[in-house]
Amino acid sequence: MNVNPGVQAYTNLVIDETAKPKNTIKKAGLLSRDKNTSTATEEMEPIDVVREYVTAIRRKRNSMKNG
Amino acid sequence: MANPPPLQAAIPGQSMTDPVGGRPWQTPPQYATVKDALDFYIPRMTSDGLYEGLLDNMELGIPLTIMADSMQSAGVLQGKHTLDVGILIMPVLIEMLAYLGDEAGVKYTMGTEKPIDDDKISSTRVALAMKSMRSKLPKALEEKEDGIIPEEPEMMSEEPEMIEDKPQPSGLMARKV
Repeated sequence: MNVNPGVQAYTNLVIDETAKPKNTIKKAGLLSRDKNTSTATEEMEPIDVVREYVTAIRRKRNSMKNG
Repeated sequence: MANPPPLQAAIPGQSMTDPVGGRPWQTPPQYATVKDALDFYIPRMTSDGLYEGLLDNMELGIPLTIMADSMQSAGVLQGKHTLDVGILIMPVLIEMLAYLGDEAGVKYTMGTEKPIDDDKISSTRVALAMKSMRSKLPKALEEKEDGIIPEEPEMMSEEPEMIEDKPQPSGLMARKV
């Protein structure tokens, strides 16, 4: 068993590969504000930032494998 | 010629004789957050200088976990980020290495596989158990066991037939044998 904490973090990272990335919702009104439903990276916990990166890279890997 | 001194390594504790802040890892990190550290690593991994070396190491069979660990350890030593940020970014580094390997079509080992099967007993352990059992057995029993073992029958060896070279008749009308 690998005892490296980084490797353990990698193996225990729960990733939902089917989830789609959130997009910003833009309202059509002239004076309406753009609302961003996804949280800003600065406000996220480090593990969430890592999960976001890993999910994005894995999605790219899977799309490359599946053609 | 005089023999070299037996111990040429650093004296234990020598690393602590440097003034505090004299080493890169004792100074404030260059990249304090996970995001900053990743913004430093990811473009570097795809740069010309590092990319080829990473693929070479993958082909040599070095696990991606070891490669990622080495990269982040080097970053800590250079004072790029702290050790905890290094550990946190390791999953991203491993995934990125896997992506680069897939993209280049290189076969690689992740390093997260479980190599040891718990149910399987190694041959070394079996040999050790046999040895300890033999030492516990009474001598008489051992002698009896030795008596039971049949002697191997000697194999009958057959000598190959010697083919004699007969002189060939050399006459014009002579038959060929």
